[in-house]
Amino acid sequence: MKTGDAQPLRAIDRLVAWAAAEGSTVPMALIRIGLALLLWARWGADMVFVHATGAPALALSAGFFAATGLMLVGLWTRAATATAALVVATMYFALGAAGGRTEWIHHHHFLLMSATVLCALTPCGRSLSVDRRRALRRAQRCRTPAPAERGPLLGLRLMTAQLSAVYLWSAIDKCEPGFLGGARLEQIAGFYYFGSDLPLGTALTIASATAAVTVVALEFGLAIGVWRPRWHRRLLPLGVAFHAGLYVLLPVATFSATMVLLYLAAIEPAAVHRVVARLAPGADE
Amino acid sequence: MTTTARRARARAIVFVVVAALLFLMPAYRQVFGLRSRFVRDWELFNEVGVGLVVAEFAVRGADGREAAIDRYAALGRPDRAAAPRWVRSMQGEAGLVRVAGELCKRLGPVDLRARASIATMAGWVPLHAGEHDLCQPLPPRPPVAGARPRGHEDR
Repeated sequence: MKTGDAQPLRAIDRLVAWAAAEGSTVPMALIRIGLALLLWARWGADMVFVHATGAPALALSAGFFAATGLMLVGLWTRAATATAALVVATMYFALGAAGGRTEWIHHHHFLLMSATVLCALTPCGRSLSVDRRRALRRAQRCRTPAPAERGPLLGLRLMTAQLSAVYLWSAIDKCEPGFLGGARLEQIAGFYYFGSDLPLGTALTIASATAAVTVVALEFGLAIGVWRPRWHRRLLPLGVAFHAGLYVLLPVATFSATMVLLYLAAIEPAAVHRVVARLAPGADE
Repeated sequence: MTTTARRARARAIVFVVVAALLFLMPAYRQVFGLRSRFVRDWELFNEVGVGLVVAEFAVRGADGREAAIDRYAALGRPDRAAAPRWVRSMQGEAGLVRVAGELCKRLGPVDLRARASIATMAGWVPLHAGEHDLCQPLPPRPPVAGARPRGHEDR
């Protein structure tokens, strides 16, 4: 009886410890830099001042470029990332969803917006940033130890949840005979490449059905696997290859790049820190 | 409870609430079938290609034998890449009938047959199996179920 009572408590304690854990801020910094670049790649051209109609749109454009620019270099990073998140959420929900600008509310827009909002929950300026450089100089001046590149991992945990949810629901959506039998992949290939000359036949059906089952299995695997560090070494390279393939074959815009960038949230932060320290030993100075 | 413990608990609560939102939000559209631009589903490329017709045309002779025809050559556009989209990619039965109509005009009085399938969410559905002369008016028939996008894309 006692054991039965103690078990759920321990699980909650484990969840609290896991959600509240702290770790290296290097992965958050890398995600911050990647997101700033992806935001420019996706929305930059639409946000140039010449397209702004009226003062509010001009203010939004100015906010977009100022916030993402500061986010990229890591100056006043928390405020810059929070502002970028606010601007992008306004663009998605107010102008896109409510305002009817539906070319701004595709899947890849949501993913970018969501990742930016979650990035704003992280201390992503504590590494690889002008803020970091200033903190180091301040420490040097005051003869105090260099501030640690550590912070709460909550934002990274939530980005992992976002990744997992995308894979899970995408895989669920594909669990229908039309997709698993290969026909839907054939139709997509027909739409983008072959048109009405698609060479339907047994060989194509076998290839498409195999690809379809593989994709669904991989997506379910990734939905679970992003939470399981032991699976990362084998699973994440497969995920990267999958997204690279999608990027080359289909007009996915920034979707593939954002998903792969978010893998940094799933990987053990200390491991990312070690790799960055090895590749760029002076990056945090 | 110490400040650290309180902070840890607050982070755990934020995690549970936001993660639940991220995981449950797509159900609104994908499970319950409701539509809202404010709610994201993860139905990627879900309706792309639906309605596409894949077809081969043939001219049936008086002896009943069929000779396959290249619709690009027959329409005077041998370069597929330069052909208009409606010739390259027939959309719905209307798209097939349009190409057939042009072929009938070009080829003169022929018995034009087609073997065609149309893309639906459930797979390929046979549309024509060479049973009709497409240069003659087609008998009315119900549209193929599922051959039009379901409207899941935000517009």
